[in-house]
Amino acid sequence: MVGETAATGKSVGLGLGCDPVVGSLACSKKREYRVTNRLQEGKRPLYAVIFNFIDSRYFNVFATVGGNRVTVYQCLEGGVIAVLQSYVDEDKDESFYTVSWACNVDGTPFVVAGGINGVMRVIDVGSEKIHKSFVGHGDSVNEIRTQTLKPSLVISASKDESVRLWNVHTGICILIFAGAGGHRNEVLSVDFHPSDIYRIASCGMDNTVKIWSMKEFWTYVEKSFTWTDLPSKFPTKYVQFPVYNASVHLNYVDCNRWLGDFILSKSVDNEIILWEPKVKEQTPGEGVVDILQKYPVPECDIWFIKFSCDFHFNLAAVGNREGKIFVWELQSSPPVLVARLSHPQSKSPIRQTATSFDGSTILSCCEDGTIWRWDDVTNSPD
Amino acid sequence: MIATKILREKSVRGTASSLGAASKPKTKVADSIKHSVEKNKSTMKHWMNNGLPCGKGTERPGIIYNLRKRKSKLL
Repeated sequence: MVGETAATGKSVGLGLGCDPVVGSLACSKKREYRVTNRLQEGKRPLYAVIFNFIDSRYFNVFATVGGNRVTVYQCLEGGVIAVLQSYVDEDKDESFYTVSWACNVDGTPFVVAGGINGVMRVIDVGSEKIHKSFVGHGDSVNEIRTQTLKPSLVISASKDESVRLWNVHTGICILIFAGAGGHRNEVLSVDFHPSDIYRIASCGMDNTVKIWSMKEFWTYVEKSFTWTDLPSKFPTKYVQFPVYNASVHLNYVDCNRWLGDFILSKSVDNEIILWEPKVKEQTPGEGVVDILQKYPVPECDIWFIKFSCDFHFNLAAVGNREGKIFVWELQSSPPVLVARLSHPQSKSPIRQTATSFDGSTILSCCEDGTIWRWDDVTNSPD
Repeated sequence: MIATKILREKSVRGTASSLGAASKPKTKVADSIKHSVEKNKSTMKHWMNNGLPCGKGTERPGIIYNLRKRKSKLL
């Protein structure tokens, strides 16, 4: 069951250097956020919320998923949230867990959603139609991310222990990251490297973080854009061995994001960790973990809680199981707690946050079906 | 001694005693993080804008794909 407290994992070996720097929970109040809106979308849990960072024309547009519904909203002035579109899956038992913005090769905006059924829906929000449905994963889809350098490529992490690379333009499953060196339990999170187009990082219930390279298979990626035959006839390739593997956490790892060449990852130990993956020269594929610093998140000991960063990676916002949000300044050392957001009526677990382009707005989606909007009022006249 | 020195220099979090009093571990870590982010940012070209947007206040073009051009049946 999503959200259950995870069992104890195996031990973690620390890398080189000193002890990591730990952020203080004394709030610096560098930024002041206020609740400007609260929406009750429905009664079913909302598992994901994401701003559109793919297309600068839509930076204030975000999507949420919960139950069998995908909804597109727009943040307007004065805390207003406008409902733009809503899509309901034909399967009433569908429960979407994740959503990502992508686009077609001509720039048409897409929303890609996946969940318990393992089928990914690609919605053309320009024409308000289903573009394609991706069938392939053998179980739930836990996360979908989009390659910002080539946003017709999306990657999905699944309960079936695999990660898959898809081309939303042609509907092709290009690569499957699984096998002898792959994850041994549900894959909970995956992310593209910000500048190395070949590199991805994945993590999951086997307590490991793996870095994969698709450089060797890039010709197949390029071929997928011009493929005119049936997607089922495309020569999908397996990538069985990651270029890096390490156990950073003692338990399930439910969210990982690149921060430059470093990695932010979160488990169920009430903290986000920033660390540097270092490959052992003697043992290719195995790595050393150099933990740089830690960002504490009290009462965040249930899994499937994902954090978000603004476009420039200045801030990270993460919720906890009691409806509170912690906003950390990412690039400071020691880490600085910029704001601690709480409200008497916000008591439900926050499954995911979305931080706007410049960090001026933070959204949270909650287990009770609510969406909360917090706006930065630091420099606003009272 | 040479190997030790090299190892220390490669670490982003040396101790004050190994890096000298003028270089603190916290500064070293922060600089390393910023450097890593900036290095990747300088090579990252947003696919549509051919560069990173300037942030708040960026002049945006008119919306080409009007998400509200047709009302959804569900709304």
